[in-house]
Amino acid sequence: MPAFDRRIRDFEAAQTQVLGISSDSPFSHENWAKSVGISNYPLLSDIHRTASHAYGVYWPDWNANVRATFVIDKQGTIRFAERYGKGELPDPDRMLAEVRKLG
Amino acid sequence: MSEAKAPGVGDPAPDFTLKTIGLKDVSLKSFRGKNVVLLFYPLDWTPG
Repeated sequence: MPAFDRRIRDFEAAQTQVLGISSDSPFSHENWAKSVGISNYPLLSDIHRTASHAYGVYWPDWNANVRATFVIDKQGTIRFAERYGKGELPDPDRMLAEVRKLG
Repeated sequence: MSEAKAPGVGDPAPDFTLKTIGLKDVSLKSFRGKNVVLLFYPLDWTPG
C-alpha cells in the first residue's frame, strides 16, 4: 500500500506503527515493495496463514487472506476493524482519524 | 478455524511473530505502547 507509505510520518506523529501483511514470502515482498515504493513500514509474511486464521480473514479460494484493516491500541486491544470488497482499498486519512481518537 | 471466532472491536489482538524482508522476525507485541494499523492485503502484485 504505497498510499500508507507516503503518509508514514503522519502515523508516526500519532504514535502509530503501520504493518502490512499477506501470505507471500519475504522474497516476494521485497520485490513488490521495491516495485511499488514501500520502504517505510514492514511487510510481514504470513506464509503459514496463522495470522489470517487468527484474525478471521483467511480466504480459502486463494489460500490467502481478504483485504482488511485492524486498528490496535497501545494496550493491544482491537479498536477498529474493516473489510473491503473488490476494488476497495483502505484509506490512510480514515485510519489516521481512527488512531488520533486513541491518543 | 472458523470465521465465527474472528476477533472484533474490544477483543485482544491475537499476537503473531512473522518474518519480514531480510527474514527478520517481527512480533505484534513488540509494538505494545504504540498504536498499530494492521493492513491485511490479499497478495503481492495485486492493486493497492
